[in-house]
Amino acid sequence: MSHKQYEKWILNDSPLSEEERKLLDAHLVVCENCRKLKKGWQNSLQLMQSSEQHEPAPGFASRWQIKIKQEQRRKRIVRNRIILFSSVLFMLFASAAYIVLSGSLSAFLANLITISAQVILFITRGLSELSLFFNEIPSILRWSIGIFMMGVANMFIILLSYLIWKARRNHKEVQGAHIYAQD
Amino acid sequence: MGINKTTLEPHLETSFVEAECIQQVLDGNEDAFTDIVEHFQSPVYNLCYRMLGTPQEAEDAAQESFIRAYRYIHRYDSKRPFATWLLSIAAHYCIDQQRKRHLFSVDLDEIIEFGITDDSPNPESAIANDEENELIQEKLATLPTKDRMILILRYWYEFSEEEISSALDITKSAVKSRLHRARKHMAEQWNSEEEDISQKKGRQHEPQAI
Repeated sequence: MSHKQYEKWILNDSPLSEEERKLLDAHLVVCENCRKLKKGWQNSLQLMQSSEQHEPAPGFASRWQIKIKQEQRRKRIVRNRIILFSSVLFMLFASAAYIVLSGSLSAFLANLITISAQVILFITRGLSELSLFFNEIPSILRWSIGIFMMGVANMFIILLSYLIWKARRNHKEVQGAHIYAQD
Repeated sequence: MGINKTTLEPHLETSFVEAECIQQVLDGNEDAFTDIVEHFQSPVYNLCYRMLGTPQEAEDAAQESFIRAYRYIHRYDSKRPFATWLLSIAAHYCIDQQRKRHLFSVDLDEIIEFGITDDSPNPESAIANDEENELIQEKLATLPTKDRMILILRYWYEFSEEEISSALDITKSAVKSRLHRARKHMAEQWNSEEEDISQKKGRQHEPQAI
């Protein structure tokens, strides 16, 4: 019988028949290599059987919840970017298609310049009328409106600072959770 | 034949409660998956630890395995045990990580230090300091990636050859030959270590020239 067959019997999980067992025992008496192989495998198996199961650090499920929320947020951001990018591309191609199909690039440019000029004119007129209005009203009212506008501007600055602070704190919390996960 | 049967087996069976949780997730209740994570965290983490060798990598791999399971839960076939499906996801992920490690890193120190945990205090240290655990990790590290995974699934999770074949998408004959090779390798590793120890002892007993 080939040496490989004995190796197979030594390393096999399934139980051997009575005849196979006798043949293997007889072979083990004369073959030192096979005796070593059997001993080595039995010891390895014993070592695997006695080894403990490794457990994750406490709070594994909570860390998973944070991670899945981050993953979902990331996916949402990517999806929004794709939608925005596709919309911009669609607008560009639709404009290009309009220009090509209308057959008049110069007319399109002329319209564009006219509309832009009208918009600028409208803004300029509005501003000049506004300055005339402020010159006519009493100075006490002018100062009151100025102070009120400054207050509104400050409110926006405070709101912006609060939002930045909150975003930074959230970021630090997420980082802290990640560091805990690494521990 | 299996290892720590009492701790692993209750986790690996798909009970009625888990089936209910899976159905709830499929029906759109996302929070129900947290119960699944809590129930299967130990076997998944243990598999990742045995494959990758460090608590940090095991944690990352286990987390990622659950994220993938959550993402692809609609593909789960309820006729199969849920644990088998989940562990096959973790197994594939760990094999990919090992491949990436070999592809992008040629840091020999990292390979030599595989399985040796850092000294920072954490809940793992009590177990990682255990000599037997370190020894088995060192021996597992010398096996090729797929052979290691097959051995882990067979002896830690009691997967049959058919289950390993279906979990890793390889033929049953490939599982058999890889298992045989892995067992032989482990036996030889054990013997070579014993020889090294006996040689060292022999040298210690030799009279020293002054």
